[in-house]
Amino acid sequence: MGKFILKRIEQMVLVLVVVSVLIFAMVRITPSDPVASMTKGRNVSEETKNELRIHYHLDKNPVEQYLIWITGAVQGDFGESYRYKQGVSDLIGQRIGVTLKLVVMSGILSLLIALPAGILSAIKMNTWLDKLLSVLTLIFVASPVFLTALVLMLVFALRLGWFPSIFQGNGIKQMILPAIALAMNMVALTSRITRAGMIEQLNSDYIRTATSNGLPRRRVVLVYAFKNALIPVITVTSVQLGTMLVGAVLVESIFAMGGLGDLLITGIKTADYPVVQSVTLLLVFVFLCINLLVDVFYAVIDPRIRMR
Amino acid sequence: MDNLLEISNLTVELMSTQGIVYALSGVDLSVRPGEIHGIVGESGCGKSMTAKSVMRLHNPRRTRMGGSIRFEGQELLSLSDRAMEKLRGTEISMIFQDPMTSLNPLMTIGAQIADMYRCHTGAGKGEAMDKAKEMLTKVGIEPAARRCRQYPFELSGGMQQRVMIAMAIACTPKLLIADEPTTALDVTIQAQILELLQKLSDDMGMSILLITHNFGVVAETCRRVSVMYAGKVVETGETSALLRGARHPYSRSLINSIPGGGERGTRLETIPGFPPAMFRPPEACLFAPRCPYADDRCRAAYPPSADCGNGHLAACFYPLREEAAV
Amino acid sequence: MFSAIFGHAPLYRSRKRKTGRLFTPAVAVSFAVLLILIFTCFFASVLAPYNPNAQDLYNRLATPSARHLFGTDQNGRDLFSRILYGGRTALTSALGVVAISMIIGVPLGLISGYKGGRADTFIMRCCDVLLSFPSLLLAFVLVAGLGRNTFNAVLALGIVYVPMLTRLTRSLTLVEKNKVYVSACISLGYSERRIIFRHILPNCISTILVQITLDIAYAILDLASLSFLGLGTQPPQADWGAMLDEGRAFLLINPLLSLIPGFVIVVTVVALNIFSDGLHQYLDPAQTALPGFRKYERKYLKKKEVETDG
Repeated sequence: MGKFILKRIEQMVLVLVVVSVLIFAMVRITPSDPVASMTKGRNVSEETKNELRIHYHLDKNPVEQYLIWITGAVQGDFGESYRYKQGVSDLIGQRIGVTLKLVVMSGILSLLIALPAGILSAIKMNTWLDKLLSVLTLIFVASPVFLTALVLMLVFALRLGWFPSIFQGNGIKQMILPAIALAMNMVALTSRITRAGMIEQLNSDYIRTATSNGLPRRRVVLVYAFKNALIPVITVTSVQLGTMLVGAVLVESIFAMGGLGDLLITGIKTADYPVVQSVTLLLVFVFLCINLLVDVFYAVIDPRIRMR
Repeated sequence: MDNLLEISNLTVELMSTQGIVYALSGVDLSVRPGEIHGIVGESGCGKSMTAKSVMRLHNPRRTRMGGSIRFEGQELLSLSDRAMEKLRGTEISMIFQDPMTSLNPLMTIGAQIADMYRCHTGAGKGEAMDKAKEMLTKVGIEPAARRCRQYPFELSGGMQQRVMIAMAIACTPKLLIADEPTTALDVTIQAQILELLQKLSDDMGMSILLITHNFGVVAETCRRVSVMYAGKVVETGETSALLRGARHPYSRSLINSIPGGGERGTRLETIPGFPPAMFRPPEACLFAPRCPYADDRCRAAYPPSADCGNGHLAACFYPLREEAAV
Repeated sequence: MFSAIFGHAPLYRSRKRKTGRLFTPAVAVSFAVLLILIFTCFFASVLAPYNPNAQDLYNRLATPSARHLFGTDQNGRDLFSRILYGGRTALTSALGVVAISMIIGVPLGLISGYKGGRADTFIMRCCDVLLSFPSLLLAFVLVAGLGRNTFNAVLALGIVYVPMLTRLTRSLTLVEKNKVYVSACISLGYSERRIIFRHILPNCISTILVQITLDIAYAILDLASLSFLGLGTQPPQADWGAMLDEGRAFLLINPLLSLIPGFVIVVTVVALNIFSDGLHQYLDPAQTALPGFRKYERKYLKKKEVETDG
């Protein structure tokens, strides 16, 4: 097991390196002069501009710039934002709490709702309950996250006043509405996948054996079938968590929560390369960690993967 | 002696994309205590369907069952699901054709047997594991303690089948239904499994309903056998009597079509035509279109089971005599 | 009606037999919705009562009326016309995304699956790298680099969708590769290119098609997300996502500004999903749902009665 994890970590590091190069390159596809946009509209001498260039390492060639960035990143220093004049690490540090909390809350919430919903749907296949859930999940799969967020905010915060309309800060109360909004999409998809997986398992031979051996139905469904159905569910869930990371960006924008999302989007709009590179790399890193955890989870559940 | 299992006029209708399929249209079968009873027939004749009906493993929304299945005098078709659950595994057990997919891939074989035992007897973990080891030894898997912790994919086909048998007999059922248990295994393993089944039947006084399409298997293990065709039982009797001279033309042709025993250069016997599609309940003898002896009487009504002496039944208007030439 | 489903099985089965009908009620409705959508958006220039960019500052934030079907936005522009034009953008962009991903992804998947070896490993590694980005994030970065407009958004998303399609095509190809007809083609001396594109590809097409219809739906959603954030279609161009963003400031005054574009997005994506599901069920018979006994007998036997009476 340990070897398995080690190998996966190796792979992850390799991918991260390649990805970092890719990010660095992609952001600079259309060349622009950050110093020019920084000093736009202001009367700045050539000397000062050159000083700025040296300060931001813009006088060096791209490879060197990349190396400076990446070596700093590994140590926790992501460079300096063009726009905010602060260290990117500080900026991230201020906001990452909000984003991570949001994503974790959403993830847990959606699993708590989606898994039982999917199992129930599968057991009561084609009954009115199943059809109702099917329609509901369809609608939520089709709703973009920002629409759900908007509607929830409109109805529950602004019109009904059940929730405060200011969502800044780390408190649970402020986070619950955004977390629900973020979760709905994943709930819908996960419950569909769970339903499909459960139906497939319930039709399989070993369930037939368990039933014919007289095991109580409840145990057969919840322990035998569900555990086996988890594998495809987890695969989709891990991809969904990635989508949720990005969805958090959208939700944060609607609820004005001051998380990483804002930082990233403003960074893109203002060509703030250090911010964009670093936040993206960080998000990819988190995503890859999630994937790693999922792989470990697979290995724990399925002995066939462990022993290969 | 009373029959352990008595199936009378069992009908099963299935919902399919082509309409209602009359899979079983009146099956009569009985199994005595301690006897090994075979069901033979070609693919699609309804033998597995009969077995699954006894265990009520069908999807209730797509299947309609009629008639009667009595086990130790108790009517199974009217039992509640809970009651049926209690019967399964403890009084009647079943083993299936493909052992690889019939075992839970994520649980050790010891855990699966133990779980089965615990659910029925409420025994503790340790006790159940001991029982599991005991069962593994009984079916010939050694060393039991080590094998207990292995997963199904680590075992060969023959061993997997033994594990299934171990699970099925853990609670000493009175009847074991074996649905083509050896079809997916190679011949040497086949013999071992059949031997095991016979031994268990003798030791435990357990009846076995053995379903197969292989007459060789039947000849070796079954005391009595029923031949099925197109959803009905066409002949029932003692195996030796049947093999000596089957009374129903279909059984006769079936036995004659087994290759081997004839002179070199002689043609293999076949039965011309195809089994009927079962979209209507039968109004005539279903074998008539392919039967060399059929006449108008056969095509007008379904023949009732005729007693050919000694409890040997054949559903034919003109049952063949024992020594009749083919 | 049931005879269409429960007709008699043909004695000869073609290679891919399809059971049931494609146009069940749900699928038919969705298909109709989609056709209406495509039609209205294609003819937006004819159907739209107003120029979507025409401002009428005396009539800002109007509620729906006879003059303005959906009302007007904060600059007095007719919402209905903007929705129509936005739809045109959304649908053509989504088709563009899917086209790009297909043109790149499918051949890559075919080659990767068929040839195996180093080409396969290389292509799969590239896909892995791309897939280590949560999908929209990659699009963000690409748009950041290319510039923020509709065309770049389409290009970026097209690239983002390539890995999934490549993987799908590759696994389909791997399955087909082992089938006998491929060995037959090889022994007949067909060129690789011919085998891949004229024999293997047609057999994979139906599954790919189902995926494509779903991808169009996802593309619409993702494009709307990009525009919503200001990374895609730039104002004042009409776009559902952008309109949703612009309407946010006026949520309490006239929520329709945001809700109507949102509603249209949901309807379109739902219709595409239902259609895709229907297509999937049609092409993969294992998925068809069967009616219960009573329902079937009521309809079927009644029909028989009618036939024997008449």
